[in-house]
Amino acid sequence: MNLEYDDEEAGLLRQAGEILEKIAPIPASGRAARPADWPALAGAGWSGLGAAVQAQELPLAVAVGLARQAGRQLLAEELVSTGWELSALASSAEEDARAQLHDQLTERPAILLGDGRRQAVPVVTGDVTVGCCFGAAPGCAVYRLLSQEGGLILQRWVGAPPALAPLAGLSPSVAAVTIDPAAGQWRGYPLSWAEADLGPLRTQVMLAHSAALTGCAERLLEITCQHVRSRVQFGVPIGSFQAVKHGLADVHTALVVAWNAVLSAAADGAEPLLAPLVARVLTVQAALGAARAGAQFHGGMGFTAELNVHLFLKAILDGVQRGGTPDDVAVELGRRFVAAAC
Amino acid sequence: MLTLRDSPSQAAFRRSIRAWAGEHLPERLCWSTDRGRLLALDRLLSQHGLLAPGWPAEYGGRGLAPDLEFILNQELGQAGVQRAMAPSHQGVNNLGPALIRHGTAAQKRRYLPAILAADELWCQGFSETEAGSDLASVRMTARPDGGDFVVDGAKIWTSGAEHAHWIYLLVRTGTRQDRHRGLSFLVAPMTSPGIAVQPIEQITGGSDFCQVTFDGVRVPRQNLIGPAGQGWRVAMTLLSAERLSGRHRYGRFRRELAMLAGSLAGASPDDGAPIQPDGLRDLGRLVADIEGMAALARRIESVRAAGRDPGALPSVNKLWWPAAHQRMAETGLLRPVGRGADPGHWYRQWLATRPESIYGGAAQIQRNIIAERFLGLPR
Repeated sequence: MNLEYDDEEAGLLRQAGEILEKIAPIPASGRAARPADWPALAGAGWSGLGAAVQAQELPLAVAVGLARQAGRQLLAEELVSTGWELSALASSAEEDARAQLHDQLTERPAILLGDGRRQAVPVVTGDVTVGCCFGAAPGCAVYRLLSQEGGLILQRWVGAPPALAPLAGLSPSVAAVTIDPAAGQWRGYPLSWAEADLGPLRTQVMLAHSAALTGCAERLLEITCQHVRSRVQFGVPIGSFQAVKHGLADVHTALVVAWNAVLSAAADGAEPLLAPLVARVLTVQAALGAARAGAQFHGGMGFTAELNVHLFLKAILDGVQRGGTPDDVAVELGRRFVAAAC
Repeated sequence: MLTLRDSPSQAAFRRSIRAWAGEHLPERLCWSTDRGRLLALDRLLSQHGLLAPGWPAEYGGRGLAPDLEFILNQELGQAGVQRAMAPSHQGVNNLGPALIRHGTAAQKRRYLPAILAADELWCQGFSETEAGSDLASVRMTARPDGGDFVVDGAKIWTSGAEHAHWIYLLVRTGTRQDRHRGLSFLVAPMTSPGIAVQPIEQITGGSDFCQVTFDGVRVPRQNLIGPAGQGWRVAMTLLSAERLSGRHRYGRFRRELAMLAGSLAGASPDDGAPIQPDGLRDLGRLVADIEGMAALARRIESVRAAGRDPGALPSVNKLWWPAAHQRMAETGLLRPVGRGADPGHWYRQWLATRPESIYGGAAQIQRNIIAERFLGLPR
């Protein structure tokens, strides 16, 4: 048993974090649009995380470490929903199609999943397809996954760019996507995945999202600690007050436990039924705790768009909604435990 | 590589422990909370060299590497050996490692074998009425007098003092202004003239802990562990070991959780109703809490095995497991009343879990440690 990265793995993860910091630095002010440079990310190999895991070129436990780094840089959407999920799906296409799909992943992709596992799935209203999509950004390529008799089909929208409406202007990564079917066509890539085979991939993606959420929350905790060390009230830094210290210590504790649950679920030989859900439940709780503390301890400034804190709050709120609602995951975990224990 | 799999040698060790448990562990001793049975279990483990397997061989242990010790605790825990409740626990898990690190050769020869045989049981004399979380405010004095120290004062919340043969003490040999630099670490037989033990009635109806008063008790100088004035260092070694002790509770907590799940599931067929989603949701959150504890234990062992600094992990551990256990007791109390469960059990558990977040360094102290030492927040 070992849950400690060796020096080489730790070095790789550190280096990956430094690369992300260079490609997509977090702005000090939250007003400016964040320059996520998708071609540069793809060029640095970040668009193929899922494919590498599928091909067993990258151990899952190291891949979740990379996803955690992505979360620290607010890149969970680009690197997990697309870089991981889409590339994993694409890795099962026919060879020609696979090459084509991987080439296309140098564009910033967004994926609409048609199988009901997202909270808002694409629906056809008259002759317009509408869906709520994580990762949608102007100029992105849009894919959808369809389950058909004979297998899954990954389709790419080729035609007029879809209309994007960011979630009430609040979330940087969630948008309603509207596609006019008359203005183009869906081009399909048959995949060798069967619907029933998707379980392990979904588990991996859920773990990757949990890892990214942990990273995002850890970064927010660091920013909050920095703030309470320097913000002076009553003549002393507010971080010297126990009410503040203890709140942040609780956040740290929950994050440490959550991250170790992620590692326990991603490690070689991990128990497959309960462990990923355990990691998910703990991560969501810990990240929400970090968001609450981050907002509270920044005081009024935490409610402004001047600091970058709100970017982390929104990334956490987006992140906790992936892979089923937190309550659904806890219910499923309870159900599985009862089945196993009784 | 991160792995939960056993290496071939670890798997072989696990099989050997499982076989040993199957052959030697009497069912009546497993999961028992009866003191006599717990002591019998201690002695059985001792006879087979399994009571303190992590101690170096020269002190009677097996020098078991941390990974194998972890496997041993996992297997024995699942078989119903509750190390955290063992009468030998204070000696084996807390004092033993501190003696091995800070004791003289003569002290190790004198005390370790009897600890290892579970022949001499120990209790902890740290807390006082005015020195709880602020342990450095200890007032009990130890005044040099010839070849002895003369000890005066009182200790409180001393678990198992009624049954213990020995007590280890944090005492003041310097001035109160010296704070922790004026403290020393002594050991004394509980039969010493001038020691009186007063059991304290607890909210659970039991009296596991006591007040222990010292009135002119003479303790030989040779019972000083570490140099005079350096008792704080010895105590910190001991508390570090104590803060990791939640690792030994996972088996019991998991069993309690299965009991709670069983009561939910068992209630359903009788009344024809499915388990309510809110019950499953609460249960799922508790499963996450308890499995999180196991994940943390794995990480701690991995860090130990790699010879790295555990950093904040001991404090995180000490903050996490009592809170998880208290949430479980409260969920059990509120959930299954009238649905086939035993509400009395959870009522008692709610009360019984209160001290877990107090002893061994209260939750507030752990939060201070995490915030100041690891998050860099100002004092």
